[in-house]
Amino acid sequence: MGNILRFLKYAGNYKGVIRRFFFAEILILIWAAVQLLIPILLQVLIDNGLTLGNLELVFDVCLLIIVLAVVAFVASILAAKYSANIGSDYAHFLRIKLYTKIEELSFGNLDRFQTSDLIVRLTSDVNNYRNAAIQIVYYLFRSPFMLVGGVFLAFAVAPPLFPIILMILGVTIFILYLYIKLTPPMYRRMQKRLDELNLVLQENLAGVRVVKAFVRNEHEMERFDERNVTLKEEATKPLKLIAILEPSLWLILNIAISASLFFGAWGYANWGFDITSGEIVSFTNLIFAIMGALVTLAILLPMITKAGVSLGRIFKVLEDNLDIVQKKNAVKVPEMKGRVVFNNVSMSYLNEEGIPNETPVIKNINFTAEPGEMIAILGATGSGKSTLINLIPRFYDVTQGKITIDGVDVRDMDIGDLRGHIGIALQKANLFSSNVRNNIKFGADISQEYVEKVAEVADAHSFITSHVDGYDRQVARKGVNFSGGQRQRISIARALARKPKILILDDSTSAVDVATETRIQGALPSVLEETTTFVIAQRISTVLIADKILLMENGEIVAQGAHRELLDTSPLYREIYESQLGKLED
Amino acid sequence: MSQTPQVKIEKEEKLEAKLIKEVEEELIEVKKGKAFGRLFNYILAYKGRVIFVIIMVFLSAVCQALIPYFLGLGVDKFVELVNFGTGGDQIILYSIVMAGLALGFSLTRWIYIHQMSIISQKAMYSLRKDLFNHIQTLSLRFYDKQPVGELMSRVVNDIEAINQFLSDGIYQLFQALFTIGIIAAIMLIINIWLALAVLVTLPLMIFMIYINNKYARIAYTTLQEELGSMNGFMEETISGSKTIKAYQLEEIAMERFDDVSDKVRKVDARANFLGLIIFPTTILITTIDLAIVGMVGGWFIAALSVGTVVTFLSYARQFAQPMSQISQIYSWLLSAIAGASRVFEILDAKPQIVDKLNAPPIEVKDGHVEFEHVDFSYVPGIQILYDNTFKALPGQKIGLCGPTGAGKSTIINLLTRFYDVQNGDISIDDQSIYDIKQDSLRKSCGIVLQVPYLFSESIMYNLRYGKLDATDEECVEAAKMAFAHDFIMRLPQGYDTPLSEGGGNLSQGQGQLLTIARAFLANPNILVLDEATSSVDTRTEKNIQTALARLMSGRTSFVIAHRLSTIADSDNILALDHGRIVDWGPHEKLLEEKGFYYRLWMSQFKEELMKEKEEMKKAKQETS
Repeated sequence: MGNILRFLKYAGNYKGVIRRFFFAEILILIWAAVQLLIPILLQVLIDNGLTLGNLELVFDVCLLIIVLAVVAFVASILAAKYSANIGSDYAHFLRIKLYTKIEELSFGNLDRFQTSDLIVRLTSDVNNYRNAAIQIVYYLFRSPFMLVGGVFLAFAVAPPLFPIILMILGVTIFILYLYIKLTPPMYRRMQKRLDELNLVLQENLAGVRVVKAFVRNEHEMERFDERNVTLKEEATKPLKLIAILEPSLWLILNIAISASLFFGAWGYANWGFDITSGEIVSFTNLIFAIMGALVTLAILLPMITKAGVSLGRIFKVLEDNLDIVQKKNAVKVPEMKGRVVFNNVSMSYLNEEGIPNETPVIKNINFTAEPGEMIAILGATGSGKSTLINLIPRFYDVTQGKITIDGVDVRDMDIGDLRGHIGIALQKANLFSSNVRNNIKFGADISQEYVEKVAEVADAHSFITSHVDGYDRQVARKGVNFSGGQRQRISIARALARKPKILILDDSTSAVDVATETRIQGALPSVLEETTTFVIAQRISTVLIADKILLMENGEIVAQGAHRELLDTSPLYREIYESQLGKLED
Repeated sequence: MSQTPQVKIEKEEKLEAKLIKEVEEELIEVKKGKAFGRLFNYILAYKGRVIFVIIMVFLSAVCQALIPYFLGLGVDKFVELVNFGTGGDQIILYSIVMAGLALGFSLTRWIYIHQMSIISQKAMYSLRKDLFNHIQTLSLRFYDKQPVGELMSRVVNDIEAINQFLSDGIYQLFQALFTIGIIAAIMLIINIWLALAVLVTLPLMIFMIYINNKYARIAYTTLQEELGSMNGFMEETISGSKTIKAYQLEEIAMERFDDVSDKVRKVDARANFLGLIIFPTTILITTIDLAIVGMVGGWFIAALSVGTVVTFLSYARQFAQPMSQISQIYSWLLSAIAGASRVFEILDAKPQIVDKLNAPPIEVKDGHVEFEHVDFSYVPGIQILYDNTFKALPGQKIGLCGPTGAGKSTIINLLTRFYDVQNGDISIDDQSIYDIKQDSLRKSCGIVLQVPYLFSESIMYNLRYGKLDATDEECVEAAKMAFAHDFIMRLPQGYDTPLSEGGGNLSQGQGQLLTIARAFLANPNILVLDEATSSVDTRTEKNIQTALARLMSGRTSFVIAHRLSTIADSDNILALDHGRIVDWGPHEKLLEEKGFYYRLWMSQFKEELMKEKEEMKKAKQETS
């Protein structure tokens, strides 16, 4: 509930929602009032019309009922329109806020929220809130109104029968309490079992080769069956509980109706109740209204709780502190030469509270890259190579030391300007669903000739033009219609397209073969005038021509220098070289 | 950042098979009617219970329909009581009957909902079991065409849609139909005019529900489409979020998202509106019905009692509800049938690789492997292997190399009969692998894949996957052989340490060592290694190489190399180019021949480096 109030405050009067809510509620109260009035009219119909044979009154009352029903219907339809719109508007509002926030998040924030997590928040969490919002607007005020109005009218219509209402309220609330209390944990347990079952299925599908290679089909079937049986048992439990609760509600309702008749007659005969048959019928009709309102509330409450939880998760993203914020008086960088200096740089990732972890990922990094130089970074997975280059465009901030470009600390620069001078091809080459040309241009203002030129350099031109649509070929979602190597080459072309002063290739040729890689490397200088280049590579053959090689191990630079130099000075470098290219001497 | 293992597997394995996706699906569509019938068979397996449920639903509906009748009689007696002071005893009797009926109604209802829960969950159990067990029999070709993620979401969502219909839909459908039928019958028996008064709104009700359904379905379909494209957009831009930030395209992404989200908003509002108005529509029609019953009752009041009118007023109230329920059930039914037809598509998929009738198990004596004129294509028309012929003698190590897509992995897929050749034959110790049981073939071929695949169970479980009846000692022994014992003992719970999904809490290198240990346990005659591409730290790398060498010794082994240095010591190297064997022989011989392998070797080294190496060699010789 707290989260919902927090949200209402946050959303404020978005798209005039307050006024629309107000209108909707007025319409809904009209609708509810009419529904409460119908039993009263029925009483008049029976007592004053039918019993007395007053046909004229019967017709008048019935016409009135029809007119009221139509009025109520119009009101309820308009209210439905308002409710549905408010729900969808809120959903849109939340999505936009969330998405905007995600676009603002720094890399560090993104690492803490997984993609799938963020998408769940944008879809099912938003959806939970939307559903609740619609139901709240449409039913939350209607039901209490019907409940209170129904009880009040029941008392007014047949005061002697009022104890029946109290009985209904007591027992119904007890049953609904059981429902609200007992079913959610049962459903949670069932969901847990279902997740376990799905995990087996997922692993079985993903590991199909292992399963087949070891001929473990039977074993897998047993493993699945075990969980399938447990799921069956857990799934039956809440259904069985509802199987008993729902008929009990009906029992109360029907017993209450028979009790109304019984006590009405008995009381009239023995205790001098002042009651008519119309009043008894009217009373039973009000029982329906009261029960209906209670059940609706019982269905609504869990929905609201769920929406509150979802909102909480959404707020967690919305209120996440950004790791990297631009300084107020950031330095504009219209021109860049590309002299990159790492001055005693250490970096630790931040934990969820935004505090740096104790163990740094890279430590005491010192080196200088002169404009136009090519720096290769070599080292095992997890040695800190990617972390190091991610600091240059300020995807992360250093924890200690500083990085300067042309003498200016990157943290003092305008982030847009800084990144504008850097072309980067990340480890995972992301393509987006547009055409190939746009995926290469990617915001850069360049001619078709230049697009083709950079594609040529990235060894992508030939496979692009081998397709009939060439540069107009559509890229499917996430680029699935291109192979891993092709995606990497397009992403290299993209990095070149913006004529960067600093180029970063983060293991961006891992999926292309050695020959292609060599071609790309050979062609790079033709578009890189005075561009400082950083190349991360696993293969030693990639780094041979670099001006400087940084050899990293456990977050530190253990050796730096050109290839020939390192062969002589670094045993580790020599070891890697030999393990990949064979012994130098036999 | 870290990719899930199946993504990696997909990425790596599909390089050669990537064209397959473009070929039409082999799943054959199951007609909706057939799907419905087959789905029903799962329920009909419990025929006795189902009949019992239907009887209970019927009794329940009778009880429910009789309550208003006795209320009406009671009201008449009440009028009598007021006017003449008689009939009090009957009222007591009637109200007791009503209470009895109420009890009967709720009791039978409880029984049938309870029974139906059991039936539906048993049916769901069988359906899930059939599906899973059938998937186990399918060949790899099936998996090539269905990406795991797609298959998963399909199975999970479809099963859920079926569950909804089976556990709630079926009994509610009977309930609604019986209620309508029985009330209509009782009404017609009591008074035809009042019955007609109640029924006159029926066409209106059906019409409105029909109209609503029609538009709602259109709206929901559009909503699904818009949601699909919005989710696709989110999925793409959020997983590619770092790229977008690196290129400062956040603004454009936000604008486009605003667009897609707004489209969803519009159609979402319409769909929700249509969903909301069913309830007020039902109320409108019920209320109008009350008025009509009142009028007709008034018109015929001379021939009727007040109680009869009261009975019909109640019926008018009870009548609309099952009608709107049917429309709900109908939409459940539609999604259940759609789900069922997709589930049955999978169940109908025929395994492509089947054993010959009475095929004997393979008998491997020394592991003599022979490929004879093997042609193969994943997709008709796009041949991957051409006329591959070669022999591996017992205990030999064969290195496979060639550019990406040359067909290296394919050879291994054929040897283990994950796929069948189009032409030619493969034999092991003179037994064609097509004449023996495929299970026995795979048991004698150990495979160590480049991406270690681990289950989210304990380490012990994962080791034992190689040999189900292995003792703890055997597992530990294997782990020691694979250099895995030391790091396992350093883990908090040792061999009982549970692995997270995909073995995420181990490093890549540790995962590889575990899979090697698993292969030790399996103790195959023939070994297939798909060498890892990703680099691990130098010590682990050395351990992996030593463990693999131990594993290979004495077994005929096939090694797919990504770095040529690891296969330089092979007995024979098989170099593939565009599916043809272009070089065959030991390393030194192939280098001398200066053919394809030589060029591969050189390109890896770069010519200048080779020169450098030669020079260094020379210098060394001169000094010594």
